[in-house]
Amino acid sequence: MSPSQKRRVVVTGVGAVSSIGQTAEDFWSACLAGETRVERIPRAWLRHGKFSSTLWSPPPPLDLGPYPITRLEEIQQDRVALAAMVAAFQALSSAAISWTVENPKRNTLKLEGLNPERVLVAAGTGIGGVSSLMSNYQFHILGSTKAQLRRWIAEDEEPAPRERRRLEDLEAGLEAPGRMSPLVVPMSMPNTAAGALSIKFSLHGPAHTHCSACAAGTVAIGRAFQDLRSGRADVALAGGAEWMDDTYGGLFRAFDVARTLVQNDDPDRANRPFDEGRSGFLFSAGGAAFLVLEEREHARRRGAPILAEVAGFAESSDAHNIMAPAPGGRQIERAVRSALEEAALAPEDIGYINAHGTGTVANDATEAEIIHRIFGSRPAVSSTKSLLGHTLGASGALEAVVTVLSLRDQKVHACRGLERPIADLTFVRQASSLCLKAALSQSFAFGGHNAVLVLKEP
Amino acid sequence: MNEAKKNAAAEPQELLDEKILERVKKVVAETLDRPEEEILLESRYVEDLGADSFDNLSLFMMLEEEFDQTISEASVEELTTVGSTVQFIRRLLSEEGATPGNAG
Repeated sequence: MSPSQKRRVVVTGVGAVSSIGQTAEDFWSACLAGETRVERIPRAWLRHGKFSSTLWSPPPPLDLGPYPITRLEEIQQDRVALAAMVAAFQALSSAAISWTVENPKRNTLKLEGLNPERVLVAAGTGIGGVSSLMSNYQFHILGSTKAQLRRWIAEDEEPAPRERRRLEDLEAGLEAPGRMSPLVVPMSMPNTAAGALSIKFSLHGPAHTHCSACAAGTVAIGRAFQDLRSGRADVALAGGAEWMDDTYGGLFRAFDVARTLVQNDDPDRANRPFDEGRSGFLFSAGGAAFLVLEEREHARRRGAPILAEVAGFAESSDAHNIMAPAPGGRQIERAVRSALEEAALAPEDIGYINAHGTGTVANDATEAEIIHRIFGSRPAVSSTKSLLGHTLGASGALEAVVTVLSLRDQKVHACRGLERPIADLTFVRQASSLCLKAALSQSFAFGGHNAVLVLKEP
Repeated sequence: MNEAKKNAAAEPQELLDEKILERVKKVVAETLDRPEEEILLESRYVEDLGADSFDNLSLFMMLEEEFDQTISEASVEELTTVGSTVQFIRRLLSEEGATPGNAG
């Protein structure tokens, strides 16, 4: 047996920030309770264009209070990095890893009992610090116009009331920060979260960013698993984060014009993965999840809680279309079968599938077809996006957390909004207890990226 | 006119300087991780308080946040001591300083 075959990888900690829960445990309880958060898009956006989709899940509140994050860090980091930090803190605590201050001025930390050169970071994201890029660009194009409007308003000694009001309305509608941040470049980078985590926790192993759209979180966890198995590191902070704060709704509009978003305008019935009445995905503006992955003997030696084992991972590419899955899903099927083979499990060993389940017509049809072809109707199936909506690069990581906690608690959450299921699969209609030995979490992305994780009981 | 500016206009200069100094000291202490008692009006950020270029950047980002003001890059280079910072902020609060929204 080669050294890499001997190394097994376990999950020892989980952390999550989402629109339905600010900690992994609250998020999980909310999933089991079938909670969701769907709102109408801000009225201010309508000033800038017509939207075909009118519903979204806004960014969750991000309470930094419980974590050692300073006011300065809050100013100097994009919220995608802050959300990643919050999820990472939770994951470390849950893995019974404590920290001490390494550099008080920079507020960087050192993880107790770990060799920092043997800890890696793997962060998935769809578009990184896009909010910082957009808000600073807003200043770039609007800052001088706003200043000019203010001068006109102030200089006009005898203004016609109507003209003045028009100028004031125009000026007030142009929202922009007061300056360009000198840190806009690092805040906007796709790798901003990976860099921030490595610096915050003084980790000297590789810090990777996986930019594979909606599969990014799953890819990050899978690649970290491979690195730990091959001996490149002993511990990984792996997960995904997305934060799409957007004053003007342009980012939402980009998904809207691509006709990918929910078309139904009933907040309670719009988001319906795997239902005949599905019409697109619910845009979910922010979230993050991180897991502590650890080589099993390393975890055992330090007496860490072991929540689940990562047993297999596989990826494939459709090489078909930048936005749509290939009909028939042969490459997705290949990835699922490869991940099962690596885990040395048969399809009948899988008790639960946390599906990609976006709610788009094409994804759900292809995914349901593949699940049925490989697994028949036996495993329980649900989509966490039926609750949260789609958090892009965070979604795979949030769903991995759900899958780990499903195995830990032997419970599965419901696939919300199902009235007329599109396939003869065992969709979970209400949260329930199951005897689970192994489960699958799968993600498919714009770009044709397919990624599949197999998790099992430790 | 925001609250800080209204107050700035209404208070005598010495009292205002003292209040600004107190807040500047807190920000400097927090950003540079130095005890407040070490921070004097004449303290130089680099030579006396050990600030590097990133600290300087951080300091002025924190001051912008603290006083809800915009500080231009050009001004940052001139502000090398606690005293000069207090004077600069007083000017900003009295609406004699930088043009808001046009500092980037």
